[in-house]
Order: sequence, then structure tokens, then C-alpha cells
Amino acid sequence: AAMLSLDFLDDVRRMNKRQLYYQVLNFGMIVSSALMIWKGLMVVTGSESPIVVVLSGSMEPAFHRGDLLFLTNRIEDPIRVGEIVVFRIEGREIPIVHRVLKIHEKQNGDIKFLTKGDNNAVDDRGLYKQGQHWLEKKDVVGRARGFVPYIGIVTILMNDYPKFKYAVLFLLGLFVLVHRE
Amino acid sequence: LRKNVEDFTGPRERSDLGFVTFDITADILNGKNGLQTYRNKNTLIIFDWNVKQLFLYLSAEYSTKNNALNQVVLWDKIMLRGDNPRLSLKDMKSKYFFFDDGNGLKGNRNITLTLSWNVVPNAGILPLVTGSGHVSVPFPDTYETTKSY
Repeated sequence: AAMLSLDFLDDVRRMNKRQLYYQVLNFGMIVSSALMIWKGLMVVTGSESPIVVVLSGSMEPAFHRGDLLFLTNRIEDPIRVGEIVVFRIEGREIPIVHRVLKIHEKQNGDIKFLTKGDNNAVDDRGLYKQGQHWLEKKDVVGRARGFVPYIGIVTILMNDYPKFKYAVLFLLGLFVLVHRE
Repeated sequence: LRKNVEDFTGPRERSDLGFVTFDITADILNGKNGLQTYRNKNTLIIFDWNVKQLFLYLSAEYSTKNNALNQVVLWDKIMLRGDNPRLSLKDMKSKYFFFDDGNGLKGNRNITLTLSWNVVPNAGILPLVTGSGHVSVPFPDTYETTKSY
């Protein structure tokens, strides 16, 4: 292991300034591409947050903490009972993933609806803002169209243990800088 | 897929509350709604290797003066892979209160009950499927005040 770290330091010293700048640019490209892909997803799905991580057990046994959900939020898609929606309560940051229990839609398309977590005994009225009885289209972040289990655990870990997040970012940065192509 | 219902309405505060009792006979195994049926195989087609569970729900859909479209889930059930795919439930009461947003249940002749389900895979797309065989139910013109539930 000692030999390995010496080689690594030698590599860094051997890179002249031009190569270093090149690697930094490379790194910048990767970050921009990732951002572009994310923004592109936002446009295609119509959702401000096209991929979300399930944070609670209120939709078990369908979804567990750490599952990843893929959302769309197209205005043409009407909200109907049985759908799984991700919504935000006014004034709160954390999105909630629950199922639509009841809808009342007017002729002009205005809709108010009620949600409930599969694993909860009662509907979500108690979670809504004080005095708020229904959710509206504006509260919706998106509709769950597909999912992948477990993968989101990484983001939960990074959130709960910031040291872990810095370690991951540091290692990634190091890897990109040192990897010569 | 068959459902039989009786119904009553009762005013609570200012919104109509409907009471529905129903029987559900469903054969999820042989559903013909967008899912293929294999005639000579004895396998659970709907519950394939990638289906973790089905979230079944019975919903009532109707129109009122106040709202062009109303949908209320009356009952739901989670059916895991491995559970008996044939449902035969009799005299079920609705799990959730069937409140209207206003007084649109009284005299409403056309409430449609449909059984649908959300297919939850182990990983992948989450489709919503509607069962065939919905039932239309009328509510009476008067309120029942003495019905015990």
C-alpha cells in the first residue's frame, strides 16, 4: 500500500500544468453533462424533480425507504384515483409519496383531491396545512410511473451522514483528476 | 367480475354521505384487460416473476351539479404474489366514507363502480389496469335517517 501511494504522488507531480488544466476541464465537462441530462429529464417529464427517493414506510409493502421513483408531471395526464402522486405541502420541503383516494373535478378542469398512504390507517388530511382539506394540481411534483428498489439508499445515507457525502465527492474528484485518458 | 349493491344516502353536516354494500367476485388470474391469457397453461400470468403485488381498489365514479367528475375509492386491498388470485367477497361495507363534495348523491341515478388495480413490479413500470365488468348503481331520492351502519 505504501508503494501505491508513492506512485500516485509521482503521477500528480509528473503532470505539467497543461495536463492539469485539461483534467480540470474534463471534470467540468462531466459535471455539465450530468446537469444537462438532469435538466433534460425535467423538460421531458414535465416535473421539477423527475427522480425522487422514497423517504418513509407509508407506502409499504409497495415501496420502502430508499426506493427510487421515476415521475412524470404532464398537464395532459388527468389525476385519477389509484394513481401514486408525489406532492409537497405548502411551506414544507419534503415531498410525500401517496396514493390518490378521492377526486372532485369541475368542468373546467379544476381538480381537488385527497391522498392516503397505503400503509397508513387514515387519509392525509391530518398532514395537510392547517385548514387545508384538499390537494390541488399545483401541489403535485409528479406521478410515479416506474420504480427501482434500494438504489436511493445512497442519497439517504449521504443526507444522514454528511461525512459520507464528502468522502464520496472527494473520491470521485480524485478519481477524475488522476485518471489520465 | 360481478358486483351487487344496495345503497342509502344520509346527510352529514352539509355533504351527502353514501352507504354502499357490495359483493365482489373477481378472477384476477384470467383478466382480459390488456394482459394476455394463455389457454393451455396453468400459470399465474398476471403474477409473473416481476410482479411483487397488486393494489386493488373499488372506485365509484359519478357526475354531480357541483363537479363534472367525481371518483371515490370505496375499498382497497393489497394482493401479494402468492395470495389467492380469486376474490369472493360478500356483503362488504365500504372501507372509506363515501362523502360527496356537496349534495350530489341524492337522486343520482348513475354511479359506476369499477374494480381496478395498480401492478407493482419488483422493478419497472407501474401500470394501472381497469377490470372489465363495471356496475352502475342508483342512489335513492330520499335520505335515510334511521339506518344503522
